[in-house]
Amino acid sequence: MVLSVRRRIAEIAQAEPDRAALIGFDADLAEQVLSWRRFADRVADAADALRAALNPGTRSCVVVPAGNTPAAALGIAAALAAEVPVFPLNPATAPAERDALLSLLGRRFAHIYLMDAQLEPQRTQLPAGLEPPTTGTGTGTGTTAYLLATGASTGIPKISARPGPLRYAPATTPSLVIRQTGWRTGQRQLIVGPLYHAAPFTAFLDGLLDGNTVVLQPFFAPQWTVELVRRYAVEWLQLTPTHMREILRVQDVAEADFGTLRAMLHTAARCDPDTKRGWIDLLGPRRVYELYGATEGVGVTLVRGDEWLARPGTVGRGFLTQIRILDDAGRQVPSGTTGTVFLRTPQSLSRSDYLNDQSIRTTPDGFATVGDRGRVDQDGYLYLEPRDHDTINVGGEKVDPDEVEAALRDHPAVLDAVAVAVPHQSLGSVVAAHVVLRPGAGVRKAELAAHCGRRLAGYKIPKQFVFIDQLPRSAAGKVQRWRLTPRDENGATPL
Amino acid sequence: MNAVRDEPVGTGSTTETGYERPRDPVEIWLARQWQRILGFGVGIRENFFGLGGNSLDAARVIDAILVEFGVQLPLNVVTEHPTVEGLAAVLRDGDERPSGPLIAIQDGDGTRTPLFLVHPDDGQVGRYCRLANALGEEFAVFGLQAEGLYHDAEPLRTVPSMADAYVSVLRAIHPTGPYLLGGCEIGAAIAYEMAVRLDDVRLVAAIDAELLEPSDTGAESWLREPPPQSQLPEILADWQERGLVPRNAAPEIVARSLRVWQANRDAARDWRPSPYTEPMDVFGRTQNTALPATVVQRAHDCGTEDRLTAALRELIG
Repeated sequence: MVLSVRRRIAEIAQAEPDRAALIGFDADLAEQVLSWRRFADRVADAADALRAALNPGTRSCVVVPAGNTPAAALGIAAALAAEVPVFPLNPATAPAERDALLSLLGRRFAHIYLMDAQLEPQRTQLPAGLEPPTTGTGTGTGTTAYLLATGASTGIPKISARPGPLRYAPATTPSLVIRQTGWRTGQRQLIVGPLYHAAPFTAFLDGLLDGNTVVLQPFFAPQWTVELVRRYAVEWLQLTPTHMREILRVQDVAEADFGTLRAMLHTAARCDPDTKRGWIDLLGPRRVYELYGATEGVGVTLVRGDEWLARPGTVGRGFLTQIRILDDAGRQVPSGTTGTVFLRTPQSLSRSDYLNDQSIRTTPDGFATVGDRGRVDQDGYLYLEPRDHDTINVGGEKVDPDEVEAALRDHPAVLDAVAVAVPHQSLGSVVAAHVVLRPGAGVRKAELAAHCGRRLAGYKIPKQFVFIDQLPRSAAGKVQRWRLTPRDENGATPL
Repeated sequence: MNAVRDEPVGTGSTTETGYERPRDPVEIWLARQWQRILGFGVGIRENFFGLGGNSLDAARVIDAILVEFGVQLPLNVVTEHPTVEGLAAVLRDGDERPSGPLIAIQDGDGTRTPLFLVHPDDGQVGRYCRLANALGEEFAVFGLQAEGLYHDAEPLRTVPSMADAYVSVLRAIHPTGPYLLGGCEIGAAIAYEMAVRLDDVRLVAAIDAELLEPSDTGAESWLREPPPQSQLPEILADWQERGLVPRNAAPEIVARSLRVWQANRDAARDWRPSPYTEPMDVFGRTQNTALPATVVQRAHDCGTEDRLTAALRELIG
């Protein structure tokens, strides 16, 4: 039976009122446990307050500062229960980026509310100079379930919207593919990644609607993840390759630490083979799952550890998803040949759209791509190629070098700058800046870093600064990044 | 994924403070760890996360503290205390590390001969941190700190005895040269005596202390009349107020500093230089008149810290 979020939460709370729904930690890291009864009550109260605050007839959404806290989880659940579109925001977003995101939301929603820590919605002023929404009238609620900031390959923040309202259906909550990864109704799940990212956010929603006990890790420290899995007998866990690398480096980590774990699913970024093997050694091949699929709901591939051992490097076969590799002219290429990866899934109604008009590329017959390149072997297993554009991937976060360079050029001592990726042993890569100073100017590297920190999110701040006399540019004035050979880590990341 | 995104970003004043140097061995150690982890030198009031540090970096700081101090701090300690000054205050009371004279100030890139800078009259080496930062992170810099500042040991009272002690420490980590030595005030004299005792010394630098920073502990007035015991708490409060010592510095620091300072002044006064034929490189606005006439001086005229840094870098780079 299909239920609204509110009905579903009430149903679980009635069936098992005393079981824990949510385990989180406050600012002093003291444990906070909410039973399903208490959780349902608080969600219902907050949802009522939110509905009451909205102006009927005005398209509205609610922004929840989504650190991994009980308040954030309650706020998200309340918005979904009230069927008000919800946007989980990274609470550490720098002011300029936050304004850009609010402006994007303002294209669709005339009123934007901010959920405060007491779960009270506060109307937020949109950044100045914003035109009112051009599309649609009416309250607009109900047509969008949630909005997520997605990895922006262009550096301009991008928001994808999931059609709504969100509904619970026993057969499809969670999705069939997640059911394949050792997921069980009523399980104990640990959320490690932040709630403002797609994978942890959707894992939280699925857990909520499927009666999980959800444990929220407020921020990532690898030894703590291990401890939380042990302490709460966690059964299901979703990680990124960066989490995986860091956990493997915890001293004396062993299979026994994960005795209760039914599965570890990893997503978000390419996982290097050593890390992958490390986890297969740790958990055994049948408890390690990898999912490849963009936020946009284009399609997914799934691979279990034993399949991966037979075909190292693969991201698996399509799950309810067809894969087609096309060349630059749009022609399908034979298996084994590299091209652009297009996917097609019958569940395309859940595909998100973008608020800033940057749609994914599609074919007339319904295949879509997010631009990744790869090949498929004869048995249908997909292998991805490294991405070839300039975007710097810092532990799964996309950094546009142009944005970093613009911030650096904003400093009075800086004449010109180029940002490039340099290898980093845990994060995959980090940002390095090659900087040309104005004649006679001097500046400390820490001052440049702090300058960037006032303009950019923390992960975009360069970890290395190299002062050079001039930038290599082509005759046309384009920076030749390849001439700025990545240096070693410069001591930035010790063993 | 969240490892890099979940920490507050500096949004203003917290990262605006610029460079302020560490003041005691705990701050020097912590600043060096931050430099190692963040990749560049930092002042003690700069915000870890505002400089690009993330929670993985913070976990490394905590690991390093566990190894060095044997203390397991909570995982959110860097979030709670995001500056060197703040985190050092957490560590200071429990600091039971042996306090030898050798203090690593900057690790360097491992390809260069390290520079050893001997303490000025106050016995501290914090004043050399800014110089190390200005030289560039590729240079390894060590300080030699006077005995008796951070525990109840008698200060050494002669230049030769200090030179002997520091030479044996130096040889323990670098049995053979080349050696680069230097110092301010009595540090220059001690460096000279160390050069007499070592082979393959490439530099003996006498640095004008005023080029690094004006000394303002009020110690000059002690020369005329040592302060009475009753006045020490007042002096401590004054030093804390002016940020010369950390807020939770042990109260004994005043009496110990006084003892060390007097011992150094006495040692400088009584020093009779050993015969040595190599010249000293003197960095300062004037000839260093504190050095005995028998010492050959090679003057580098530099009126600012920038000029000092450039001249020094030219000699050792």
